[in-house]
Amino acid sequence: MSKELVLALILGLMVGFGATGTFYALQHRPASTNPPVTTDLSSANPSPTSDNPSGLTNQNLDHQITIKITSPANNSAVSTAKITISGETQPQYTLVLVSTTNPNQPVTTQSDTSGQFSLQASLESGANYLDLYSIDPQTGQYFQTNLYITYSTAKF
Amino acid sequence: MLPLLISLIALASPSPIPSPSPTPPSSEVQKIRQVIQEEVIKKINQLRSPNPDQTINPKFSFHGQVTIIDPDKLVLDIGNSSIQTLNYNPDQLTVIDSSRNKSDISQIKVGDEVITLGNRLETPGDFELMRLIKVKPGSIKRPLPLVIGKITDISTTTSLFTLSTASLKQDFQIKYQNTTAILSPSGQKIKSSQLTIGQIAIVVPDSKAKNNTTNSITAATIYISNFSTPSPTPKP
Repeated sequence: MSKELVLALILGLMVGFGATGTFYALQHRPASTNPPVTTDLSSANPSPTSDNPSGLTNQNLDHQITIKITSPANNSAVSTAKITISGETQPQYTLVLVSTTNPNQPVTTQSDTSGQFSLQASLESGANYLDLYSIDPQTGQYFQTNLYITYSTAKF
Repeated sequence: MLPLLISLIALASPSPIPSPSPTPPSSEVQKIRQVIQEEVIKKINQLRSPNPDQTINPKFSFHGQVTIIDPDKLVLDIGNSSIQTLNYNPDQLTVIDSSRNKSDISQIKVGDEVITLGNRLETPGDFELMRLIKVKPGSIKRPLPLVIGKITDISTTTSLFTLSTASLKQDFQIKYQNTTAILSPSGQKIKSSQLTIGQIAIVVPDSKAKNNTTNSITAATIYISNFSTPSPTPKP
């Protein structure tokens, strides 16, 4: 009887310690060592013509100037004659947007201290090519990207 | 025994003791609060934005040249060595010719310049073509490139300056006229007499000028990106 009791006690202790130990080990294991997901900009196609609904990043590798257009997506169709182009570039850079709607008078702005920018563009009915420049105001180094947008009120 | 050993090892290993972090000063806390507040307001404004273009637009459009026409798909050359495949249902496709009349897919030939409109499908890169508009070749214009560089010489006799571009490693003769707007990026007017060597100029070529050549450009607008107002000379 006493032999059975001792065996049951040992078995119980083993199960108890086992469960506690496993739980403790799981709670205190080191954080995942998976590398963070990054985008290798150096291999990114600098051409903005490929469709990229999540935004567009182009980079001048010589000067490390980047333009990321967050809205609208390249190759979009819109139903309003005015759109807001927003995105991110280097902080306090000069942004110049040239379009065929008013080619002699581009729209200009400056990115804020975090690099965010926003520009209003007027579109003409049909196809619109928009060239966006991000320029270092002190050195004149720049990077240019473009957007293709169609303004159409047709239902489809 | 294995669980027992694991538990003993796990219990024996020292647990990391959190080091006491110094309490940031109240000004830093205030700054962090401000930054968080700004970010939250920015996000709320983005979500409340009435402009539908602020979100990913489900409507797509491509401009290019037809390279393949299949019964259910069209392939376009959209420039920069990129091609785009668009699926279509002939019964749902509207085709417009270059005279803006309704047409038929059978009238579209390889080599035609077209504008396409349709819907992005759930799978990224899949498109459903709904409208196909044939356009006259070369009728869709692109903006003239800007010329950006440093002013290296200014003519004292004519309305002309030399702009040296680092990116193109080239010098341009920039002509300006009475109609040329010379501005700071914020829109402040600058007199031509305020142009100086060393300033960074962003030159918008006059799209109507006929005498623009590869090295000589008539400017419609000139922005001086590093323009600073000269401080007034103190009077004695």
